[in-house]
Amino acid sequence: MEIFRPLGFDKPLFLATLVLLSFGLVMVFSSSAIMASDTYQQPFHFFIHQLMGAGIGLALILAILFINKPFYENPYFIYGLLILTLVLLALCLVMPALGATQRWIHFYGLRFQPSELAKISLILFIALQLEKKKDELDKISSFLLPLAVVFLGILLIIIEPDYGTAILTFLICTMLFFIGGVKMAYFLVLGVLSSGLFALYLFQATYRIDRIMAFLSPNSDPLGTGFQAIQSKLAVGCGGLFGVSIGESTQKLFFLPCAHTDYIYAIIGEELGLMGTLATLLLFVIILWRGLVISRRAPTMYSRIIAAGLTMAIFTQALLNISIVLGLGPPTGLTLPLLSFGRSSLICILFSIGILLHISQRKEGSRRKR
Amino acid sequence: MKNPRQKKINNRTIILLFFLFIWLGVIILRLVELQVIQHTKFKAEVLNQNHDVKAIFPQRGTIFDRSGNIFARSLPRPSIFYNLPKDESFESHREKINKLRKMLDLSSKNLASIYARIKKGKSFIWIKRKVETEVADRVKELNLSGIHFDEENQRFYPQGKRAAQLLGRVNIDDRGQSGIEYKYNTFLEGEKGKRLILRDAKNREYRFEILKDPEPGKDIILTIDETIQYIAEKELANALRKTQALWGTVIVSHPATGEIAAMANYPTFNLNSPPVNVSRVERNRAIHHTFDPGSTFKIVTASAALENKSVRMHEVFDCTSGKIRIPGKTVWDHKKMGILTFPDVIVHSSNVGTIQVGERIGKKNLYTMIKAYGFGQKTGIDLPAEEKGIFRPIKNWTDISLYSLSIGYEISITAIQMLQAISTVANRGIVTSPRIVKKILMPSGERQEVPVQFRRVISEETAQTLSQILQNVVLRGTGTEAQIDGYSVAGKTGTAQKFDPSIGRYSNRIHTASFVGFVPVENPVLAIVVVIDEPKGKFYGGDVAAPVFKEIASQILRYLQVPKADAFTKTITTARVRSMNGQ
Repeated sequence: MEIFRPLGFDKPLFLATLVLLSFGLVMVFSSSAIMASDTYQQPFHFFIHQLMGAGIGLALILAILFINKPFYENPYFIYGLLILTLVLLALCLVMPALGATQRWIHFYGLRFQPSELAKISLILFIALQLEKKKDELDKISSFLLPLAVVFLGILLIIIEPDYGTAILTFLICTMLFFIGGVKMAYFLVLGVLSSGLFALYLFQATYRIDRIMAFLSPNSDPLGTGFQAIQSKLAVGCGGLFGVSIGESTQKLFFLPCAHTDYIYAIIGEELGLMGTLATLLLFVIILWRGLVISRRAPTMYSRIIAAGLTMAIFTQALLNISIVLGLGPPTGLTLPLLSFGRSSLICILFSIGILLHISQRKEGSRRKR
Repeated sequence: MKNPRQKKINNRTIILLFFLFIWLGVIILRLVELQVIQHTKFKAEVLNQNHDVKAIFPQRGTIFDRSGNIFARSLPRPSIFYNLPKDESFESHREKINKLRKMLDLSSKNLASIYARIKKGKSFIWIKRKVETEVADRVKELNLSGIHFDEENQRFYPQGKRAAQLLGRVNIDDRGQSGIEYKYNTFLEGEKGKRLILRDAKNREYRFEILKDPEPGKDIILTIDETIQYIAEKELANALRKTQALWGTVIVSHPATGEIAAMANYPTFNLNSPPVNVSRVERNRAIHHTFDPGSTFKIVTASAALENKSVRMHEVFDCTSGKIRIPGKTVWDHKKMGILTFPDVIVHSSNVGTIQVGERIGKKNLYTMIKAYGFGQKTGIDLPAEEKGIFRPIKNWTDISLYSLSIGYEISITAIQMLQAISTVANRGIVTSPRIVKKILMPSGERQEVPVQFRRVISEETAQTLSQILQNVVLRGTGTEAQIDGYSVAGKTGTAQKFDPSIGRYSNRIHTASFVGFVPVENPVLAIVVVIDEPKGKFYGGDVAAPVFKEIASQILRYLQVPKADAFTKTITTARVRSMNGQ
């Protein structure tokens, strides 16, 4: 039997989340104010939207903390969430394109990016499958359904196209199967299969090749595809040890596109220097550490996998985004969790944190009855 | 309690963590590389793309006449330039430029060069420089992206045509190209300031910082008197119209100080709107053009004769035949003049008589005198590109050089050199270097005076005698047309045959008519040289140039309120000249 303690949630995780969230708000304002007053005649435009997202996300966490039952273990909930995600992803494809991509659902002025939700629902779904088939993990048949669903989900994300989220989702799912105890041999098959598909996909659109080429030699065309990569590195490098101080970035003055979303880490690097970039990394490491602690202390095996999956997802996304910002990978559209502007992303990440905190509220009650 | 599955999960989490930490390590190393090791380089690159150091143009100094009338000044004027916004199509650039086309009155040539620069991908393109403020305001109202304004200075010449060749022009960058503007450019232009501009990626300036204030150019006061300049130009233009000559030049100076009061050229042009072929009219012929002086040069011959006592005053020379044979050719007088005394040889400008005088002077003495007057050398006037003329050294003289030089051939001189010679006579034998700039106003309020130099050329006695002879030229000789009521005028006419390259010798059809003189003889206030090239019809200096002298001199004397000659002024004169000799 397990005990639910409403105030027993993991305080360090919550605190790290709040710090990152507040820091994110400051940085979103700093990096977007000039662009926002230029485009919307309102410097607080993005700040206010992000604040709304943070409010909704925190309310969601609060609500989760007061639910006694682990709803995320409920198969109906998981299947419901999964079907909702897939439907929304499919809906995206009939939505009007925004900047040549169809990543958003527009609904009466509300905008939502379902690929953010996809990460959570796939994690929960895979955990559920691993739990159900925990005694048949040696059989390939156990993986047919989860693999098919994952493939479908990633395919829909690719079609949008949202190359970054697709890679991230793929990584997270693989990691989850790995932690869940799937035989190593299966990964080999999966690896060969997916790299083949990936290569095929890559050569379908020239801009993807351009991005890869731009990554490999960014200076070949400094004003074209390599522009973002160069400007991002310039921003980070310009910051030095302590940065040019907050609000003083010059790279955000349209030199660096997406300064408040995908490249917010570059502005952190420019304004706060190495101190800022390392502190940000430290906060993510704290989230990883607390997440894994929660996973270890989780009352059930099932929650354990969920906690580990969600934690890895946040941390991996952070590393992936930062790698791109630092020019270690080709530019893809990925937000930095809790820091980048983007309400869908923010709410979904806070939802994940909420589940993690909920797991931390539950403890094995051993033989003591309440 | 731990089951094998739990153990497996733990192990695999640790393996995953291991890889994640390697990844994290790579990121940290990369951060150190970018933010510590390469920091300086990246910082410099960022500064390079958003910082710009631009010059602030100083206001160019004003040029005044001697009494404070403005000849040239600079006023701020907006210039319009285009900073190509990135990621805009050529069509959108063109649309914007087209909108400006009418407003700025851009020619198709202007447009073509602008488009060419856009195509080349230049980020900075002048659309039009130095436009009217109202025009710039209208352009500002259009609020076109990438169209910016810079404040420059536009040179204005309030007097338009006045003293055009003398003042000179500046180019679009405010750099002097000719005349005073060129010669005194370093003083006039001042020192550029520097400002720091920060730009965003759309090339919009968002912060200015003045690193160094510009130092405005220094003002210059000329010795030119605007009214005298006006009189000289007006009368020269009248004469040129009357005589249908090619060109003419007039210089008016104050002989005692060497200050030039007017320097006129015709044809001329408006400095505010120079013609396309400006190079044809912007030459300052008063100092650039060299010509064979002819009879005016007899002043020098007479000086040599008097100074060396080669002739006695009442000695007579036979000019009855009206011609004289010199090796290889015959020289003619314009009419037969009989027996002439030495002064009358000059008064009637007899070539025959002057050649006999020259023979008496001898090569060496004549050479020394010509040299002493400063022919063949620049007068040192503070104007650019002064010509020194051609005066051959004595070792290169031929058999006839002595005779030719006596009557003003085989030598080419400038009008300013001739003026300097007559000023020497007017000045009781002392030459003063001519000058055009009176003062340079320093910003501290101090005034830098340009030093004056004196040098004796002929004795006072020679000068006095010569003055009397030259006065007689005007009273009863070739220069009667230069007589002015109430004033004593001294002067010499000149009618030089021009060398015609097509026939290889001096032509008797084309002439350079000239007159040099000073007034009043007792206390010279003005020395004037008039040169008129290739007059049609009448061509004698006495007929063509002397009346111009008369018109100009009489008007200036009235303007300067110089009293008509009487005993009183005579006394004053003597006193002044003496004091100057003492220096």
